[in-house]
Amino acid sequence: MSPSLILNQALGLGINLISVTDHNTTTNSLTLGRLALRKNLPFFYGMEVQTEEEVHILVYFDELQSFERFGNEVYGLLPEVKNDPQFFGDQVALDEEENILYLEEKLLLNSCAISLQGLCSLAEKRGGLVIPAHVDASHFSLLSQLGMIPQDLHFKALEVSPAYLEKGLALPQVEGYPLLSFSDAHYPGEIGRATTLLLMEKPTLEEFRLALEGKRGRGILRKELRGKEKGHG
Amino acid sequence: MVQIREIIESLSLKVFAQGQGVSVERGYTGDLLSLVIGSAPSGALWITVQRHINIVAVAALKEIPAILIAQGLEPEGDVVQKAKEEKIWLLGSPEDAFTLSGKVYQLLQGGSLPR
Repeated sequence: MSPSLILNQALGLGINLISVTDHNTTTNSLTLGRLALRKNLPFFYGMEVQTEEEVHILVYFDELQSFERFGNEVYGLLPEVKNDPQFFGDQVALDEEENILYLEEKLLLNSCAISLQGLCSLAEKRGGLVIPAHVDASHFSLLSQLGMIPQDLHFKALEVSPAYLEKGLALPQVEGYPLLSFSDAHYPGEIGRATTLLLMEKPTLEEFRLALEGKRGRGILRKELRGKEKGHG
Repeated sequence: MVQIREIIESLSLKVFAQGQGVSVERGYTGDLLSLVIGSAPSGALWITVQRHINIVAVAALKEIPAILIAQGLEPEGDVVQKAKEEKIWLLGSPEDAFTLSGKVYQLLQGGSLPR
């Protein structure tokens, strides 16, 4: 699933704001960025970071240098454990023409040597926006790993999985938080399976923050499952 | 060194998936996959409350012949099939990880369990 395939799929589906959030790495997100700029498709840079508690956290940027800096720091926090392609597949970094830039040797499916709190601080310091990923999932989520959403980290919003929308769930632990849902696509067919419609003046991180806070007329309009509409606000 | 079947019998373990006829001389208890990847010894019986598909990949990677899921938790959907394919024992018990660890430890030390 190359960045170029993702971009074309997104364009075909009429998605007008996209982010590729690879696990503990930035390279494919950077490639998507270059492609999106060519096609004038709004995008955010992003990563899905795994903390030492094995919680997945999405971190978004709209500024290249900050993203790259953050990416390097996260990479440095990954243990020096090598990938085993036989079990985890090759970890491929691609360019805009789907050429292999390199095969990542460090196991990306690992936890970074940083706590949830540490990661949130670091991301914020670097200008990123933190959103806990798939909080309802049975593993690698805030609820699976901590059993709760830590209030003292003041998350602006939480991501719930497409399954959460499908089942029409309403977990008490997420009450009071703006909820977002995205495709979390691991295969091409999953792209666009869930989307969130945001009311913003322009596709910037600052606007995204305002939308999550419901300030100055910006907001989360609705979440959509492919084929159906779910969950206002 | 204890034959896996002896452990299964002594602890009345539920068998979700059958693995290879191995003898076990070590155990490892832990739920953070990153720690298992980093430090679980090969050949160990792994006691955990994790029950999702990634436990099989991690067990295969670390040459762990058997996974014992504690607290009466059951493996998720496709996990059983995956374990069968990898020929890894997938076992279960209603007892908690602490108790199971103690009992397995005792068995591996050559002891026997009170009836």
